[in-house]
Amino acid sequence: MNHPVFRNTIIFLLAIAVSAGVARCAPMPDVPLGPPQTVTTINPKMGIHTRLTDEVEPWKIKYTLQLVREMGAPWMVEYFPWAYAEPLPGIFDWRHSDTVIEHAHRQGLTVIARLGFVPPWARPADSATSYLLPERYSDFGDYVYAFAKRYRGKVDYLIIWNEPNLALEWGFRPIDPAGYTDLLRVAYRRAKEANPDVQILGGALAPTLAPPGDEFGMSDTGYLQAMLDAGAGEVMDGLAAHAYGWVYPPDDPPAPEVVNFRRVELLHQILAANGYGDMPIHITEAGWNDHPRWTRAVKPGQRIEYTIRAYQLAQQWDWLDSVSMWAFRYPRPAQTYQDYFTFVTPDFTPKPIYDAVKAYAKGETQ
Amino acid sequence: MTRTRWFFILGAIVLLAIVIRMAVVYRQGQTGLAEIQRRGTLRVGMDAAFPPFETVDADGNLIGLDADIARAIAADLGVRAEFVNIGFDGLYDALKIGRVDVVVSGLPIDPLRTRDVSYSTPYFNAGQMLITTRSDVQSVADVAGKTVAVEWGSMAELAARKLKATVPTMTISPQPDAETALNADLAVVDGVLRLNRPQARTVAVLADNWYAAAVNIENSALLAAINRTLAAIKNSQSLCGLAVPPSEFSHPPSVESCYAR
Repeated sequence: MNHPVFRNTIIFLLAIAVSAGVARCAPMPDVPLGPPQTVTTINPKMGIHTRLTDEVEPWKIKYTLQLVREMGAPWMVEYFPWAYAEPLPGIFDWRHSDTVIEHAHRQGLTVIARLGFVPPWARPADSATSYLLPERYSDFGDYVYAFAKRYRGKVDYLIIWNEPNLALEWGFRPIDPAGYTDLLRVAYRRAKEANPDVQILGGALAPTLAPPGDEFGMSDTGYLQAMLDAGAGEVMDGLAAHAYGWVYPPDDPPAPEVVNFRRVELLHQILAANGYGDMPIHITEAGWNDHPRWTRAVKPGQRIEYTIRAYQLAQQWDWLDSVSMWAFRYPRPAQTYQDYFTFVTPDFTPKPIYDAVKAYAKGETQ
Repeated sequence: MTRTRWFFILGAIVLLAIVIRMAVVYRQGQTGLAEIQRRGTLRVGMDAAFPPFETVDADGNLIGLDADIARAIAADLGVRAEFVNIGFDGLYDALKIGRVDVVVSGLPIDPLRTRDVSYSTPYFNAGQMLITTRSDVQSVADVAGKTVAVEWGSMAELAARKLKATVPTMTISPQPDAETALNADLAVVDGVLRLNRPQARTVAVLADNWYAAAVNIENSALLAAINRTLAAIKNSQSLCGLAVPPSEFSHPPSVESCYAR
């Protein structure tokens, strides 16, 4: 059963079957793109992480992006899982990503695309979806190439992987900054082959205080330094960072032993100390949570104040290009604290934070 | 063999299959309950950081409404409640892998989970409700021209905004914190917060958010037992009366206050 010839034959037959299936599948129902729009805002660094990966209805995709534009956020981050786009080697299904990107482009949004999620054919059976061995890096590189080429001119920012400083996001293998840098190197080369203008963002590290040797995670600062030691500075155009505030206000000063919004300043300092002070940082996940029973949450009013203040702080940092809050909307309620990160409800009812941020972006509030 | 006889045999086979399947399902449903009774303990999953529903007192005892409900269920089964303190987001997983028999933890009903779990009869509505101490507010329509306090940015504000869409002359007054809103003479608050203002009257529930116990979907006998206990609690109001839906708050303030934070 494990003989390569047998396995390759099975994959080949499956590829034919899937490609026939993809070809036969009706395209996602057409929702008119509408006229080209532009984002009006007083703060061009404002962004939001949408969560359209599991949103299957095109009109909801369009409406989500319309609301993002109307809120005054020119930047959006979205996740485009490799496994969804390439269910079998070389067989691509772009229908969902086409819908998201075409509508985003038409709404005048700048898309930062996060790429990851290993398809079953590229990893051992029963392994995690974040498990990718070095001999498969080239397969991921092929996906990055195909994505960058297809969306050239519409997606010019790619995040390679997510939070690789957590074992959970590294296939539950030993955390390996040098290994991640190798992956980044492959992705960088392949992306540039497809689109020399695309900006490759590395890192997307989870802010964590994990002590040295911890099996579940490595501190983001230590991991970044190890990445740079392995040469990551030469194979990324910018750094993606996560900057959750938890219970601290956005002005809370950064410190190695604290996870807060301004911890991102430590990452900038590490870049600068390694000769990459001009490398832009994009905060691709950030924010506060106002769940009434989560210990890391703040009050709803604080969440509004902190979020707007964080957007204001971003304007003061010349090394930061964008800050995208987590998360705009979920397709369905998570029924956990996660629901209290969102800006609109699953049924598109704007929460007060949405209106407050929108008013800020219009210059109606300070 | 005649066609009629074939139909008869086929029908008998189908009927037998249905009966066998029902027996298997029934047996599965009974197995969980039998195991609990053999073990002598009902393992209850809860996140004991949510007063007044569940918390840990100075002596390390689990106390609160859910703890009392769980003990009542266990007592009716003739076993002892064994509490397993788990983070809220891990409760369903604990149920799924069999680490606990039941979750009683201020758990909102999630219809999308019903492929894996069964919910008991809902026992508490934590949704958004319009409350007042004013005598001139007897219905939702009476908020016209009046000011309604809410916690700024909260789900209560969201519910008040929806109410304002139907009563445009009401004014929403966002407050910096929930407690300030709660102490206004007319407010929208959630059902949990509302417990701290027993002297206020619930005018209307604006958005439901029901709490229920959850069991593995195969554990039908346990679910039936839980529902029997909850029904008995509701009828007797023996657990401070909180099993009564807030829309029917009619029990004495002294009863409510025993679970107030």
